[in-house]
Amino acid sequence: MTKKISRRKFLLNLSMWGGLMASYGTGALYVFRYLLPEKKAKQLRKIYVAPLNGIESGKTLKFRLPDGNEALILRLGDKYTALSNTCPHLGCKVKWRKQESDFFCPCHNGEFNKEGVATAGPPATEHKDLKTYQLKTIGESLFIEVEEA
Amino acid sequence: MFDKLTKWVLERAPVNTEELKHLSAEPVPNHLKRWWWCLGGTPAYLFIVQVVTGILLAFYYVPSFDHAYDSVRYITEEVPFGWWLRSVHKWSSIFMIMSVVLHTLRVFFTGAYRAPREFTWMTGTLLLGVTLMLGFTGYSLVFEQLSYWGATVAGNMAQAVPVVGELMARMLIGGEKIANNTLTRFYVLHAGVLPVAMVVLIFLHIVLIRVHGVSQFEFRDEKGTGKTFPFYPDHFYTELIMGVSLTILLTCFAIIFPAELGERANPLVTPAHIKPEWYFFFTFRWLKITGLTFAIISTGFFFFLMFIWPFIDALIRKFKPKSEISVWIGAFAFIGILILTIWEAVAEH
Repeated sequence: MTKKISRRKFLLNLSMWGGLMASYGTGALYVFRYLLPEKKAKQLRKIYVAPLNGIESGKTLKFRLPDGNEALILRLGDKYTALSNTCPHLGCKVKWRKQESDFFCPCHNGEFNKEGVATAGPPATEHKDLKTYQLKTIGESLFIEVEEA
Repeated sequence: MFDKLTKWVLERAPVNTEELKHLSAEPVPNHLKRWWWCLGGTPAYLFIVQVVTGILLAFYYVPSFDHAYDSVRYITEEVPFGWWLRSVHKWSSIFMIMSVVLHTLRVFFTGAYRAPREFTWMTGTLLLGVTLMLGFTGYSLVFEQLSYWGATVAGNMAQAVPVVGELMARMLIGGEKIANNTLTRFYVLHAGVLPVAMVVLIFLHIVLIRVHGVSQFEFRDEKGTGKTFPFYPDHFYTELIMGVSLTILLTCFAIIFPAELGERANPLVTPAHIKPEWYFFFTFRWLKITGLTFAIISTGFFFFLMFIWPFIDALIRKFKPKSEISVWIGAFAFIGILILTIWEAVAEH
């Protein structure tokens, strides 16, 4: 059987339990924020790659990054591009094809243009491009920007 | 719908709600309506606050010689709301000690420790001791200059205890001097051993209170009326209001007087002025005005007397039934402690 309670008692209970839940709820929210690990903005650092004329135009230079991955630095005239050599499809290593002016993944025939954008094969279907890195030129030297570990 | 759900739950967890209602509605004497009779529930509530905030602090605290201070600094300055949790933890410990002391005084001066409640008093004095030890070990974990040298003084004081002092000090600080072992030991005591001891003692204390009932104490205006009221909901709500007020007070103190962080502990430089936390001011001053060994023995003896006081009081009243000697001795001891505390607080050295 459902017990009937007066409106006064109902409002009294509502304000009391509501107030308690609101105040301790705020505390719980603070606790959640306290326990939530902070997402820190990653700091970038420059690493020296090579002298500007150290890479021939139309060719790539393989550069090992501090996190163990590799980047391919491509020079086309005065333009330098840095791309990861890991295929975003299943992790095989891509190669630069000078004749086709593209990057090719031999595992599933994935193709990427000179900016790393997927143009054919499974990476294009999945819209997965090669990861790009920022390059900086200081004087006659080329630097790559990577996230601090 | 709600009735169906209740029925479903009760079929799986057959709790006798009527029995629970009966148990929680135990009639308690009318004097419990006075606010200072909530001083027993107050430290219990504060202990829960400390357990919760303590567990949260343990998520980031590193109990090692090299990282303790930095982890406290990280909690205080970098983790969101870390300063607030640390401050609430600190202030709840201070309020807890104050309320335990006030509760002890209330019980002593109303004679609530007399037969058959001797064991309730004894568990209470042990609770006071555990509370003070929790305060000391917690303060030492911060690993700033004052807490480091406070722990050093305590270690040396322990050494002065006759016969077992050397062993006690070695066991406490985990070696010859304050080092990594000390922090680990203090951490285990602070976060493991002492809270468990506290829970066991609180349980025993409450069981004894329930077995004997709350001591009868009648004020002049209600003499002979024998009025009572149910524990639940009346007294429960009183405690709840006390808890909410304390939470507000704790947050206010945490915001206005947040827990600070002094200089990093330096084992090579003793600060010019070292003082323990305020609740040890009286022992520190006593130590200064008497000798080390005498201070240790007399303080130990004082706590022992306090522990067995119900039996001493019974002995006194056996020979002088109407005597109020106990009250006078209690007042003398309390005023003495108060004077020593104030003296230490105002004195530079």
